[in-house]
Amino acid sequence: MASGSRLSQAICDAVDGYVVPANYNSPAQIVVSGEMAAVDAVMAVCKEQKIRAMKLPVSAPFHCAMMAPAAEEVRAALEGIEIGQPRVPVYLNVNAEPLESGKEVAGWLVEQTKSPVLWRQTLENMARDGMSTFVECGPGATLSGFVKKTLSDAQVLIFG
Amino acid sequence: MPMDGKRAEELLLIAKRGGVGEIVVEGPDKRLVVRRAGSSQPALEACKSSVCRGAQSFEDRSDKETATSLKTIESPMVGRFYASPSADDDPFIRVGEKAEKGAVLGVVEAMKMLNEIEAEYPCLIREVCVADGGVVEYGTPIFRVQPLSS
Repeated sequence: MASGSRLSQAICDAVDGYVVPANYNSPAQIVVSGEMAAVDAVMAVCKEQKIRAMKLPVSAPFHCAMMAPAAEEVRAALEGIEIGQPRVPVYLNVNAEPLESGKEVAGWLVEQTKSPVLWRQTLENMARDGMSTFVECGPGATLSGFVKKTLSDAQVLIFG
Repeated sequence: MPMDGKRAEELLLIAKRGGVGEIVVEGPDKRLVVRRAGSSQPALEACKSSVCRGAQSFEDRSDKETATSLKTIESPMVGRFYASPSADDDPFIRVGEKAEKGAVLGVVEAMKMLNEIEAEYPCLIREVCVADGGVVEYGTPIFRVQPLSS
């Protein structure tokens, strides 16, 4: 586990209330999610330890167990939708591994709603599996920036 | 992948075929940008007037000589600009302050991914074009800076 991941988990464990790492963006950037008071407590610890922390004005505690009711709505919405077998390897942020069967997609999407986004781990596993060039489409270079911060030897192409 | 002239031509053909305005290739130690002539960013023009409310302006607009040497630091993505870590904190940088190369000047956030805007060279901040919390498009000017010799 990268040091940022360990640190964020340790801080979340140390404060009162429910708060957990929710987005592993890069080795040095982790978003936490949970009860407002607990998130504020994490902010205070970060300030004490001189760790840069920002509070994001979001509408819900995304990608944590507090989203379980929303995950059930996702499950209901996906019922009856058939998803075919992927023709190319598709890596999931929810487990950082390639999808094995199209039949699993709905279940993983439900899980994703209430589980952390393992973006850093996904990139690391793609590199583990031999991928070295990453392509970002659309304006901006946000994801490419995180690729470079996670995989220093990767080549990045941006189509904007 | 070698980044030579032939590669640039190939990328330009891909850009033309796909209707893409710009292709950037970045390796560990090289960067190649292929941009089609005439490619535009209409979204940028549309947002300019709305994002500048509440922003900090030039200290001295009469200094035309300096103004012409100013460079713009643009948003690398669509998102929300943050001038400080939180409402209780000081801004990362203020107008009139000097920034060392690599200093964090602000943050643009989208989908809970925070992109730090760093100074690519030592510079003096002359204008913050976007208000804290303002929405920015790809290419929106965020800072006007005067480059300084290191």
